[in-house]
Amino acid sequence: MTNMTRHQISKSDRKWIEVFKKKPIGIHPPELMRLLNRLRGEAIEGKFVLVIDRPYEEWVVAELQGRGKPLKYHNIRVSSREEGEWEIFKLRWHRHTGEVLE
Amino acid sequence: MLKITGYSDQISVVLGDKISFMVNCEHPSYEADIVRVICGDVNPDGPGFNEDVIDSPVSGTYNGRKQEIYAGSFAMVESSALLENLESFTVQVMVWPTTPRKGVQSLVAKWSVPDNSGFALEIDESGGIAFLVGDGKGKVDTVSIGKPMVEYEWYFAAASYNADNKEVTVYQEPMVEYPPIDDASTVTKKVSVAPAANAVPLMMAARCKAPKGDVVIGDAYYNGKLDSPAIVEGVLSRAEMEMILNRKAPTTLENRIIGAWDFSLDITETTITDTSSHRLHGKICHMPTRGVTGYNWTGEELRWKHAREEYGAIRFHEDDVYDAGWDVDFELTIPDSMKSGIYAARVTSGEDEEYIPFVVRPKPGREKKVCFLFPSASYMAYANEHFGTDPWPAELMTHRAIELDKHHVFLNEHREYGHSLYDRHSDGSGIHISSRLRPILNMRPKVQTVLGGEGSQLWQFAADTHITVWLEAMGYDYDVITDEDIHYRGTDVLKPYNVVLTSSHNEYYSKAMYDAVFDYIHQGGRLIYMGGNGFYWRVSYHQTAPGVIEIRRAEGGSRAWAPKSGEYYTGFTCEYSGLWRRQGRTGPNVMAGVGFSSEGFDISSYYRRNPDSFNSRVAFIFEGVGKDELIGDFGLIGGGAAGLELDRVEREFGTPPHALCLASSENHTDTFLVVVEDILFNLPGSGGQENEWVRGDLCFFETPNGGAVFSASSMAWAGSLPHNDFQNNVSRITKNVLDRFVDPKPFPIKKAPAPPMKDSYTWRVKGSTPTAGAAE
Ligand SMILES: [Fe+2]
Repeated sequence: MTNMTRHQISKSDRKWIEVFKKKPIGIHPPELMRLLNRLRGEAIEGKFVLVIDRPYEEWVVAELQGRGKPLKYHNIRVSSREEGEWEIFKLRWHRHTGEVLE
Repeated sequence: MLKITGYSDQISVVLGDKISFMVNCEHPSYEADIVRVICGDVNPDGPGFNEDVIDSPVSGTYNGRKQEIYAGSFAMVESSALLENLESFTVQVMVWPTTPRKGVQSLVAKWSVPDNSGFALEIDESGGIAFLVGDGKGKVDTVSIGKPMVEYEWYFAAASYNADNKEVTVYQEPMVEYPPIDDASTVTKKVSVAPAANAVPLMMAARCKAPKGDVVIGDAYYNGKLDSPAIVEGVLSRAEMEMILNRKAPTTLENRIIGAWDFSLDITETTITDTSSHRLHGKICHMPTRGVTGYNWTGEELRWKHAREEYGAIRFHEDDVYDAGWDVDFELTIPDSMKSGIYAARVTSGEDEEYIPFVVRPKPGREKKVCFLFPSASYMAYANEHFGTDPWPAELMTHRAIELDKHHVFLNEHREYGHSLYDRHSDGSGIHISSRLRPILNMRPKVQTVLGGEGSQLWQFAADTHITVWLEAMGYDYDVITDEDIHYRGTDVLKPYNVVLTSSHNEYYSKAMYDAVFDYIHQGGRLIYMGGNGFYWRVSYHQTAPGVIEIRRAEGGSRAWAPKSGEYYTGFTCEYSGLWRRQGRTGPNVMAGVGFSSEGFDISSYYRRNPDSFNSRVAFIFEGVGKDELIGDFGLIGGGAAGLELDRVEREFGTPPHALCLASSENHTDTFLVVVEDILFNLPGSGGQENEWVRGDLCFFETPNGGAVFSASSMAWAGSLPHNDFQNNVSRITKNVLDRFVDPKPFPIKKAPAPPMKDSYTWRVKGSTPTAGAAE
């Protein structure tokens, strides 16, 4: 499966980074939705997910490798969902634009 | 990875019944107890995990042992002298392969894997038909077509073996010709060995590796359909094979048939019938799909009962699983001290634990006034879902990062545990059949799920314990009965109750279940529909095999897959499956006044009171709730009472004309979209920020004979009950309704002319919130 949407990420999307960081889950303006549809609609191979390590306390970032295949774990631990959203956003932003976000 | 898994033989038991528990445990030993499950939510923001350990003879230490599931469906015919003493013979079958290139897949075989004896008509590594003979002493010979078949196309496949000169002829003929595709051939070759006799079963869609109980452990499982397999004495000409296939053989040829299996004769059963005089009947294992179109389906009839002879195929999958078939580890005879409720066998070893839930229903005559209807059919529908790990756009549905719990990671790699009715088989086809005779790792307390919304992130079983913990906190005495109880025993099971509460998501209903609830509320019963997207899909229970349901997601609806044309009627019962809403005067709106409107899995919202809520008929519901108070702007499931899946009133779909639309939710995110079954043309403005149809409606109406219905119309409603130590307006409204519904006093009915239809079925972007039914 390839990406679900054809929105191409460009410089004009940069303005949404901070908006997303402040509120990763919830009502978003249509332009940010479009950006997130692109990032969240990634193919299953290499898709970033959070694996619950300690329920409601700690999560680990991992990548799906495909149906039935073992996960690839990243050395990124987070202690909230919001933090997890941001870590995944940064990884995806880098994957799509080559730019490293702090 | 999970090291303990288990299941029980029954989901609902009553005083004196014996229930068996089967456990797979990789640890040398484990502790087991029986617990009553009160709250399965471990979220620190919630009411707290709550279970009662029951004093029972189960409590103790047990030896752990590994138990495996051998998934993959097949058909088998016990060995017999006739099948063991074949001389020259021909074996033939119609084949519709879905994964011809996956590797060796056995089609019709009397083949013993450990000693390589017998014969097998199969798909080999080339993706084409091959015939295998083995002498059982180490020599195997193959005759192969060597040309891959096209996926999802019918082929005639056959092989003849001449015992006099060891000549084998193999046939592969497509029914449809694609000029440049080279996929037809006949190959004749002498083999070096004769097929040795063995005592293993004749198998279709797998070969025999080892016996296990009254079935076998298979090998080389096949994905696809088989139709009209036959074995005939002698080397048949192609014309004779065609006569056998068409069941129009002259007597001389007919007398040579060893076995000719017509799968259309017992579609609803677990047997297969040999139409030859030898009566070498067999059975199916791990529930392949029946009532599917055969090679000769014309498209003129869509219901298999009407053209049975065109539905002679069975569809097999390497990952079908019905009964895990594990050995029993411990049992419990239900003692008098166990009151009706939700229980589980709790199995622990060190850090690892497993819960195997079951329900104790009340002994007839001892029912209380309040009943919680445990939605076992819907739990089975979602059993072992793979939303987060399989290729579909789950994260676009949720608009949150996918969170995998332990069981998701386990299930992704343990496909033998089977799938949910939302998943797809390894060949990409939708799962039609789901069983509870296997560990259902998401029907557990504590587990989180991808769709469960921000917050506790619970779905179904664990989420439904928000209802049970609330009932306990409010001091209600209640019974629990399951979908299977109302399916098998009908409305009489509900009759003793003044009020029945559903779960948060009672989506899957058989005809018997639907009728039981419908008749209950029309004979004076009161229903509190505590959920969203309930009474939605029509499913069939198998008529002889316990604990298994089938669905065909026919025609429309919000669905994870679509069945093939001609396959909208279940094999189990030949019922037209799909949405209840399409089935005459039925459907969620008819039952509960509301029907599925929208879904979203990020954050939930609140309800605002409508003018109908000030009607004197419903004054009791809003006692203690302010005029402008937002209802449920808090909660453990998405942070609001209106979320996940929502329902709305719609007269056009059967909402009673006198139903009151008390409150409606609003301000949902744009991940909440109008459901596809309400869309004729796609139009802009279908998201929660813009569309009037994206909402949940609190709804009330009276039913004949003193009955009534209250609908919450949201899966997240229950998640708001525990907020602020159960002191909140969602809890208040639910309690107001429950207290009034428990009271047998009939609802006052004042006859009045029918009101004009207020709502109309038109696309609404913004504008006024429609309400249904009459005012004063
Ligand atoms: Fe559902």
